[in-house]
Amino acid sequence: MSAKGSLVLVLHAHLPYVNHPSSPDFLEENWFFEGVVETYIPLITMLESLAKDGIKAGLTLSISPTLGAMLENENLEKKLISYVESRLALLEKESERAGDREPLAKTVRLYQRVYEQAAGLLHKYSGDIITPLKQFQAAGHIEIITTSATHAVLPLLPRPEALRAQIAVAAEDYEDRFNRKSSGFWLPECAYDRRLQTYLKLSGFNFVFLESHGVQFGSPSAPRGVYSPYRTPNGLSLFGRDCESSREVWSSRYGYPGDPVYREFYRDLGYDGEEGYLNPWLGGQRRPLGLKYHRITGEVDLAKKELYDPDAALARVEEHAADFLAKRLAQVEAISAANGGNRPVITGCYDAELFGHWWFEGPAFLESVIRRIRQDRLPLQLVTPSEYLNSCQEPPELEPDLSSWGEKGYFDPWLNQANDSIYAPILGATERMVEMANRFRSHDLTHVSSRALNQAAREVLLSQASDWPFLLYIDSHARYAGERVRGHCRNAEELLTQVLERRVDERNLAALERDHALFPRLDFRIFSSASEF
Amino acid sequence: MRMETAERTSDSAPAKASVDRLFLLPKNPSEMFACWQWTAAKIEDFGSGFFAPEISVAVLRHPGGEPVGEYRCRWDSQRLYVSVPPGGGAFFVELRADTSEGRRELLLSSEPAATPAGSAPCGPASTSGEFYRKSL
Repeated sequence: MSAKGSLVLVLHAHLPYVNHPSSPDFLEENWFFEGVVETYIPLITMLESLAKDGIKAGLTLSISPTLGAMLENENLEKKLISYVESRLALLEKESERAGDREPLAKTVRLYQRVYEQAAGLLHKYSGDIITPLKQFQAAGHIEIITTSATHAVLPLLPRPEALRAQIAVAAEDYEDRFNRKSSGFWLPECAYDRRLQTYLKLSGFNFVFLESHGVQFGSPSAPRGVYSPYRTPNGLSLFGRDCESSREVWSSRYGYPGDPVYREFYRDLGYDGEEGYLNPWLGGQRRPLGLKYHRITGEVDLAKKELYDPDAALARVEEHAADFLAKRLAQVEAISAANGGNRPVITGCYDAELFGHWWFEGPAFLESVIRRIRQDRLPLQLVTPSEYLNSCQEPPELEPDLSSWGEKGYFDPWLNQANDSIYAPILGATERMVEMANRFRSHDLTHVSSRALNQAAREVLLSQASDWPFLLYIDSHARYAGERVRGHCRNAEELLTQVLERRVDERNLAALERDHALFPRLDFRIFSSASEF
Repeated sequence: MRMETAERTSDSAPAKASVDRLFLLPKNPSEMFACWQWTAAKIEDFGSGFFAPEISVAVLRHPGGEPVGEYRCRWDSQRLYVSVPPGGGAFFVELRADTSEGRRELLLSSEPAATPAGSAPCGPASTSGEFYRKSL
């Protein structure tokens, strides 16, 4: 059956750069281990399973440069393997504890499969899970794109040099990692402002994704809403995010992930279990261990959650996948009828970590959606943005409005009274970096001065991550987030002062280079105002 | 044009910068955020009474400089939210202080920043915040 419309599904995978090699057990590094085991490996396993049956997933995967750097970091790789082994050891004890009590024993066996699968895949690829993703991209199963260097909310950077640095460093980082150029650029937090077009095109990017009101309030008015791509005056293609399909998957209240039979995220063995028994895994403080035995149940207190039943959850996944596709088909029919028969494109954008980490059943849902489209020969084409742009007519021109996908649609989550104190230091350090890059860009510098300036540039980029203001806003790991911003700004300011005063502390510089080991080719001159760089 | 007094007072000692700096950021269609840093010399000027402790923050339309609001706050409050007319456009802010001799001096002027033209997001929040919020 010929397609009546197209579906672009974008998964944005990102974690802030967290690497503490001098600490054997650093709490916030668990974000990375959990992301790998619960989301990235299940997604790779899903792609392998689909490929085995001759099905090309047609997904778009955005991998942030910070996450890419962590996936390639040997220190984190070793810790990740220990993390998986330690969970498998705990699960062996949990298996004994559960005995034949169902459905608990069934859930323990499920977790054993998840961690064994993670161990197997890490072993198969020698710890490097970028390799299978590269292979899937080369075979045309997925399209991998990038995002800004450290996931900065770009409209909150007033200096154009900082925008250019975030975008150009990301382009270079992608090329180093994937041996090709990225066509697409994920705007962190879908945050768009018109200054970005120039730098995105200059760095070779062809398309971005926008929140729907960025398209709706664009100029001239968008004739087909978000169901057609557009292009900016300088030729950057734009895909508008579809709210309906996003909400069905995203919303914990109105969407599928909030179903009572699905696994409850917030009830964790790390808080439930007996402290003495769990001590080897808790490291002296209660923390999530990733083993969650309860289901959402309903709007009841955490203590009243009922036990999770994996079989019931998987049955519901199939219902939800069928419902999702039925709604997309109805949506396509309605939009097509309203647009004189033009075939629409529906763009669904999600944080990758939703699938598996937050919504445990998410990867199974995704696999079911993809299989149903292919196997049931539904009149819906699952395509990547590049495939779509290669086959569609020249998109109409549009100048989108300033927007983001955050709460209230603009920048309130990243700029409010809980986090606004970080902006003066971050923007001050950025300005100083630009001034120093201008001052030294043509100098014949010593090796150590160059290293110090490059590291200062790295520190400035790291200070700009959207994660720090967001964590401060939701008051989660707020102390760590605040310390990271202060630390990066202080490191940058000190390094720049040391270069000026010709007294670079090489020992400290080497420690910073080890701890913040990303963007190996970064040249501080990317922050200079010279347009020819 | 509004004349308002900011409620926020200083919550920490101002960090010393190498250059006086003023930044203006968009927050949403009706609000922007200004923040600034002072050099040690300027901190001394305020501390010694050369400048009065209360400064004025003027919000102006870019280009043209049409005033759209004015606020008063302490020099060391370091940041301030300002209202802007909805409907989009670009704005900039200027910081002024009165000297002990009664002159009003322009201390800093920000680069212009744009605000959104629209004002209605499509629906409930549908980002990662949705999941984090469950825990609040």
